[in-house]
Amino acid sequence: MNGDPQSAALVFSGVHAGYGVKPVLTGLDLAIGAGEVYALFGPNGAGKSTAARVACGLLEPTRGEVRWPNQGKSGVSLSPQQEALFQNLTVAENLHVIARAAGARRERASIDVARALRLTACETRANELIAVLSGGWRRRASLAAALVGQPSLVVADEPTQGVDVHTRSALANALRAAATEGAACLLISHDARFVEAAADRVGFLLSGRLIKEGKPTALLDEAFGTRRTLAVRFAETPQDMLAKVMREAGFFASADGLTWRRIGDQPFEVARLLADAVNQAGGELIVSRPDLDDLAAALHEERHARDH
Amino acid sequence: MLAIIEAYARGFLRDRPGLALTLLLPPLIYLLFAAIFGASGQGSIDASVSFTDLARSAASQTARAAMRKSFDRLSEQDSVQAVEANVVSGRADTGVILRAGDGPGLRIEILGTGGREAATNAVAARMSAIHAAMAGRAVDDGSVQRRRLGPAGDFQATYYAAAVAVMFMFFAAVHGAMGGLDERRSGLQARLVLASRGLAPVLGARLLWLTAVGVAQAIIIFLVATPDLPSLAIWQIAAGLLTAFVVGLAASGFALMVIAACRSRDQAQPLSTFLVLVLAALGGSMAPRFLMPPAFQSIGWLTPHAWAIESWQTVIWLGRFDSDVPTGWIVLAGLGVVGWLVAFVIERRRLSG
Repeated sequence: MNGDPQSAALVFSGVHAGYGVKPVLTGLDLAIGAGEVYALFGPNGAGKSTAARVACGLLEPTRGEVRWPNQGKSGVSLSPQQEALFQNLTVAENLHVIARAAGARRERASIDVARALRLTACETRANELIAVLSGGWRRRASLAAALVGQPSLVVADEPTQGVDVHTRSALANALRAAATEGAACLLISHDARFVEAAADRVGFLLSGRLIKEGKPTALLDEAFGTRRTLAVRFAETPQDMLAKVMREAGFFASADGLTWRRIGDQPFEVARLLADAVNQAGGELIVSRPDLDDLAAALHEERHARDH
Repeated sequence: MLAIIEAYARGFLRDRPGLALTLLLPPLIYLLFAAIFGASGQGSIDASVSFTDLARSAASQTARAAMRKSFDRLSEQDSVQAVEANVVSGRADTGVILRAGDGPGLRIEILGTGGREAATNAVAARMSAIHAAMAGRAVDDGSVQRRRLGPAGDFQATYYAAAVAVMFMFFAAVHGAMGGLDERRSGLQARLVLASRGLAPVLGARLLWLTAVGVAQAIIIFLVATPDLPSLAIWQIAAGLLTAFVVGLAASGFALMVIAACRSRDQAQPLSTFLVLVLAALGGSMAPRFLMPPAFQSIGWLTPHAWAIESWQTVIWLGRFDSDVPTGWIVLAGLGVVGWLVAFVIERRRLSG
């Protein structure tokens, strides 16, 4: 989709925002078009949730401007990080409350609720109390509540926290379906796989401003080309000799020293060379395409190198 | 706003244990209070006594001197009517009329209202002791008699129905308002604010819902107390209900304000419990204000509890609608509105910061 401000549902122009004297967003420029799923991706403290609050109109920018060209602020709905539903009400009843609180009459609300249940594939659980649902179904119900009433902008803050692969897929489908019906979706997520599956565009946020944005596949191709990620996982920290060899081969260790990663060419050749040693150390080798986490790490390192 | 109130109502009705505790505990406590304080009086009660001396004799002079030593709060009136007015209005707990008896003796009349048996019993016991000391022996010749003033109902039943109702309305309101902390933390409040296009409908719905629960509690308590209440005219029932509404409003506004000022349940639980207990104690929910020292009786007017109890007593027991009643309603409704406004300002700042 596009970020053309002319057809945008949400526009940030040089937005500065924060809490008290602490600035979190430091000149964020962003435009999300109708029918587009846009993901904000970045480390903790980058300003993703603050951007979500500004997008909802819950937090005023200290500088810059935020606009909702389509329906104004009244067309914004939120799926917060937690379930944010009435526990003693059923899924459908929760959705009815949201619809009617937004001003829909009972008949119109029923239509809106049916649509939201369909988009999130929650029909089979419509009459179950939130309190008795599993975490995954609660996340779906929470997203369904944000899709009630055909909002022009849906802000979904970490919708996949603690969900399984199946639910993640259902949530991605729901956001895609909402976008197909015309909603702009701002997705705040740490979940690289989910963002790749759901988002048309992704923006990398660091220290309160965008450092990169584009289509996920295009950004990955641009950053990594034909290079692949070779990951080695150990149950215990590898011996010094093996660790030294891996460092010389271009691997970086995770903080706990159990996962080593290398992004480069000829991953299978490198894997073949290390196979015996890794096998003896009880480790496993995995070759995969670099993902958005790899890109975020690379961008972070690039920014760090430039700043220092 | 109605949709949110409906959501609260559905959730409330489905939480059966919570429902039972909210609506059944208050009448049980009322019955307990009424039983405890309906027991016979104790001599140590510091009752206020209004008296008049119709005998004007040497014996009555002796009795007056003894009364001055025995009662800290003693006021002399010119006539029986003045004493009766003081007792019925509550300015005095008990009245004493000293009349000339046979020969040099006295006849002593103790005046009390339906619900102040504790104070009346205490005063009667002391006057009997004074009379016995004057006679040089214990006497039981009917020289000390009691007369009940006011409506046929039980003053005490009305008092404790009102006292327990206002106390539980405040407890229920603060506990209900704590749900707002969960809504704030989970993001449900933000979601409802976006759907309703503002914080006012969300907080307004919470205020009205908590008020409705409070009114339901008051109705149940007064229904349980009905056998001991005077027979009520339609206007008294309507005024009692309106009093319940403004008390509920005051409790809800106060609760929303206190809870809005807290960041967590760990803060809200002890703070709200402390405040509600202090208000209940000073306002007369735990012990009648007329039994308190004068300073505390005056401080009591700073609590909504005192206004609530006074308003209910005036319309239900005294069967009057004087200027004190609308004044009480204005005070209570004012607290509700101010509490709501303060809560609104705090919640809006939290929401945007």
